[in-house]
Amino acid sequence: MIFVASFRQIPKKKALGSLLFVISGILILVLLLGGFFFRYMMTQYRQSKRQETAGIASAIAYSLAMLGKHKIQQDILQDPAQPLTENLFKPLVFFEDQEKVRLDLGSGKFNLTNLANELFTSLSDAGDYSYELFYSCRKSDFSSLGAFEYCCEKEGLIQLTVSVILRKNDSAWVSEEVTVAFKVKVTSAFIPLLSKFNLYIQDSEVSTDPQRFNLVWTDQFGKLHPSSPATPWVLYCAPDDLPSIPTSLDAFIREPRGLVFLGGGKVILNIARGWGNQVELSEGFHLFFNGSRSGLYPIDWVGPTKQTAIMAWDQGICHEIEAGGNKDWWEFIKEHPLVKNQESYGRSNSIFRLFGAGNRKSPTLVLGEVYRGLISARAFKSILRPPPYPGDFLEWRDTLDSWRDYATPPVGGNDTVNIGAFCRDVGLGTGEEDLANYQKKFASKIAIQPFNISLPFIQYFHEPSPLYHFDPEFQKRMVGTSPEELFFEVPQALQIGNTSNLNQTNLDEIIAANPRVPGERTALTIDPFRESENGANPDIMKCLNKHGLIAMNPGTNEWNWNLNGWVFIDVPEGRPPVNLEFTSGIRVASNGGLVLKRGNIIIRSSILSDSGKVLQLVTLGDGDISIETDKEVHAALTSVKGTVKSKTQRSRIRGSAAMHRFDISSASQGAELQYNPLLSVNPTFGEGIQPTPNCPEKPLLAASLDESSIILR
Amino acid sequence: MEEKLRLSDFLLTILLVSFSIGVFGEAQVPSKGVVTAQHGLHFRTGPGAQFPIINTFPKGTEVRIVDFSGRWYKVRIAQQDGFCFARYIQVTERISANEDDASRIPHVALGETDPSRPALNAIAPRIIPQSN
Repeated sequence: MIFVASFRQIPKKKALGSLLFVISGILILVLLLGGFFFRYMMTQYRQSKRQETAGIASAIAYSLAMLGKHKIQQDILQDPAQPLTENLFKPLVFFEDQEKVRLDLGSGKFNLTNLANELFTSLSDAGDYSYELFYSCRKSDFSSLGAFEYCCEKEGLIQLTVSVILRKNDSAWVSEEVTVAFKVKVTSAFIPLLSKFNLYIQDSEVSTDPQRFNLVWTDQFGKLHPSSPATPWVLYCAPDDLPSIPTSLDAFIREPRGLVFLGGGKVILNIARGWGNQVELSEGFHLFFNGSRSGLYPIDWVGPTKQTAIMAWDQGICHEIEAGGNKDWWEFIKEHPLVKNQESYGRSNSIFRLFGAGNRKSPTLVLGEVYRGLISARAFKSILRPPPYPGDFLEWRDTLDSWRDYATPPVGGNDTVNIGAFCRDVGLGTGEEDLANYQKKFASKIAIQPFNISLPFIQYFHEPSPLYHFDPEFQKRMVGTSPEELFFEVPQALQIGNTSNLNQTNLDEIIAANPRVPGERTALTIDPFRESENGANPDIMKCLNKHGLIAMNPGTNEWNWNLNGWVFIDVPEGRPPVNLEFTSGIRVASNGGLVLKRGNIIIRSSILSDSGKVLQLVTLGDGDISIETDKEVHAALTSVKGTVKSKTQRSRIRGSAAMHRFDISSASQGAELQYNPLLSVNPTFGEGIQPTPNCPEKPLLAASLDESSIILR
Repeated sequence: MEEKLRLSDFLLTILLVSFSIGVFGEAQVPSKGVVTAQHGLHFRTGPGAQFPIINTFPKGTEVRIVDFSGRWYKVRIAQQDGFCFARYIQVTERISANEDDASRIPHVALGETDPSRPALNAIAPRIIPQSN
């Protein structure tokens, strides 16, 4: 009512003006609020757009980090000349902090630029962009991994920083930077101690028969008999260009020669007769003058004025006893008890040619209770002129009757054998004591000698006393005055780091301490049951392929193996063992090893390493490694509780073989085992020796980035 | 003429010495010999006293040695081959043989080996330990 009254009292024009003023005010207020609101909304919009761009940039940055990781793994770490790799492959004491180095995705063998660009295209809707990657590492992030003697093995972190700058639709540039750290493990593809051996057999299973390995029939020239029950494993333990045999033990062990260990008791390996270029299985080079020409050398002087030489002529063992030139040699020893009771002991030679064969000598040190068997013919000859009696060979006589007939034959014509004059000269009668004395000092025999005696004979094959050219300690260890002094155990020089307190002749213990897979050296563990599509029937090759460790080259139909470290195939207890079968050829592209917990490894194709990279294949449990091809296998093979066997065809291994036991059926086809000298890694330092930047395990090193990453910011 | 003979003798000597040096150390196997047994030497059908006697050669008989079997020479005389005990044949000619031959005929190699080679005055020989 008051309002109405007031209205009536105000003139019309004035009232209209006031109204307009009020309305204008309201409008201005609304506009102002709208403006503010619009501005607020625009800010919100821009901010959300920016956040979206930033999110995209961040996602791209992480994706780029993954690409960068692959680039580092596949390109940088494969090139030892790259500063990062060079740094990683140094002993830890020489490791240096590495400042940020730009990582070019487009350089090198793997050009990842297109992949990176596609990331931007798909995620950023083709805005403007640029990016940069940098990697770096710090010494403080690394720690030693291996035994201190093998000081290049280590683990630590590689940092990868990715900067991304992105602009969409002419909006402002958005900059994003992330830092990711990847665990890296640097390991070498060798097993300390074990890799020093070309052939390692823990248990030769000779407890009932030390001659178990003498099964090969060859003729006097070393040619394999067509009916031979076995074909030898021929070992080449040293590079062909290696100079003469070292004469000291320390020098021997430090050389790139693959050693041999045959454990489990006394093993007698008969040396094969023959020499020269023509016959590949002969072993005459183990003997004085190869056992050829006049192989006689004096071993004693007897008679009143020491005028009569007792001479030895060592000869290898062959199957013939009548034909060719072996008849006389057989006659010398046919009554020897070893041969008399078991003729094959004097007619079959070893299934191992430990020092090579034919014209290709490859001597090494043989550890274990290993002896060589041979015919040591003995003869006498006077140096007086004219001689008081003609010289002759001295046959082994086993019984008293036989000895009496031999020493004092019935008087006959002018063409009967009579060594009576010699016997009188040296005081030998016809009694039992005389026979024993004759057998011990004079008679030809099957000689069982420490196997390493062959080393000085090979080096000084024209010297009757070759041992004296060797270091006295080495000489003593080779011949021994008691069995304990011989090389039955691994020499102290090899007992290093994790192996120092082990029973050196126990493969289980050596493997438990080395290679520490499973353990700290493992780069990747795969459970094939968990990872296979077909869980009931897992395929290890598919698992490896899924992890990018192997890839099929469709052009060559070969698998490219790029393990870059040690991979453990963890077949869980309670599940059946899983076999790993190689049916297509393999190219070894990087150093690494594969340890199969339970199951066999069956090799039916070639394994080739043109690049000199080393592949270790190990079966734990009772798994065997079976080679069923005559193609070359470039790998170091270890079966901890089973055997490495040559099956169906003659195997050609370029690496090494270590096994718990030797399957005698492997000698049906035989094998050729050539040691890879790269495996002969010596410790870089021990007591009093300092490491050098170029550690000896360097050629075997590989660096592996962990599949997971740590995001730092 | 005399000078020429001397020259040829000298050259021949040089040649023989060179040849001897060249073959030194190689196996030398008998090729000819003469019987030394006072009462003659049996000529048998095989390499052993158990084989029948074909003939008996008087001391001084020259024989050609064609092969070896243990302590026996296979000899050829008047186009006939047989075996004689090597001890009673003095070798008058030798030919060099390859290494295989030396190993194939240890008895012959023993006959050709001078025990003073390898040198006696070198380090004393040592018997390598044997295992039972």
